[in-house]
Amino acid sequence: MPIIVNLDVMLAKRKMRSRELAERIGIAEQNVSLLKSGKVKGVRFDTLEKICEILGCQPGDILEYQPDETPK
Amino acid sequence: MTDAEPSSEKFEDHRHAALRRKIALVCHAVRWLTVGYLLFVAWGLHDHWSNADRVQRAFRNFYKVDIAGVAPWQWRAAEAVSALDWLVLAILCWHVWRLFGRYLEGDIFSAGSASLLQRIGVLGLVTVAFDFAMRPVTVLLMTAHVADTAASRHAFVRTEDVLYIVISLVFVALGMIYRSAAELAEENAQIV
Repeated sequence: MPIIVNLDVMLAKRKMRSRELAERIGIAEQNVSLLKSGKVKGVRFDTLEKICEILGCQPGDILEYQPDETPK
Repeated sequence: MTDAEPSSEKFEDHRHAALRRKIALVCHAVRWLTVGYLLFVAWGLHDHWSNADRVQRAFRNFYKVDIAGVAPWQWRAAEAVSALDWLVLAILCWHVWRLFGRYLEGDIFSAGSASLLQRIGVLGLVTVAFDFAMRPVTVLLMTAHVADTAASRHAFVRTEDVLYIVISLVFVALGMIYRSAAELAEENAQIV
């Protein structure tokens, strides 16, 4: 999928653990781990809002679009 | 910084736990009432067949047939048919027990539970059909020694049969609906 989740990078920058983020957002740690690994179908706006608020960042810092490389 | 990954990769939703708590009492009630019903039917059948006078009276009143002089093999065969009828009912009840057990374990919005629900509906239809077919068979067995006997005279539909068919079809339809709902829920669970 061309959408890359950079949550682990932001967590490392803020020196925060997944568990703490999960507790502060109010979702299961399991789900934060799945989000970090990009194994989710989507992110709710309210989850994204809380992540940005807690980590002090923009949605673009967490989500990135990388087009699939197609050979020409 | 180390950050241990949780071992399982299953999506978690606290609403499932809340729903499970909410329906726990109903699920337990359904399971144990099913067992109670099955035992009650077994006791009823035993009570019915163990009283020869009452059976003869019932045949006289309901079918207008005097079964005096019925042979022991006829009794045993009729009892066996009743036991078989009960066994089909027991299979249905066992599936109900399993389904509500799954609900208690939190396996609510899953394809497996939806299939089980659908199967209960189909088994309900089978139970009604089997019961319907076994009625004239029982009468035929008990009146085999009587000259004036015709199976067609003893095949009858009870009003409850129609109700059971409707309820069974509702279960079949709900099973199909739940299967689609389970797929939607599975997809929705992957949105965090």
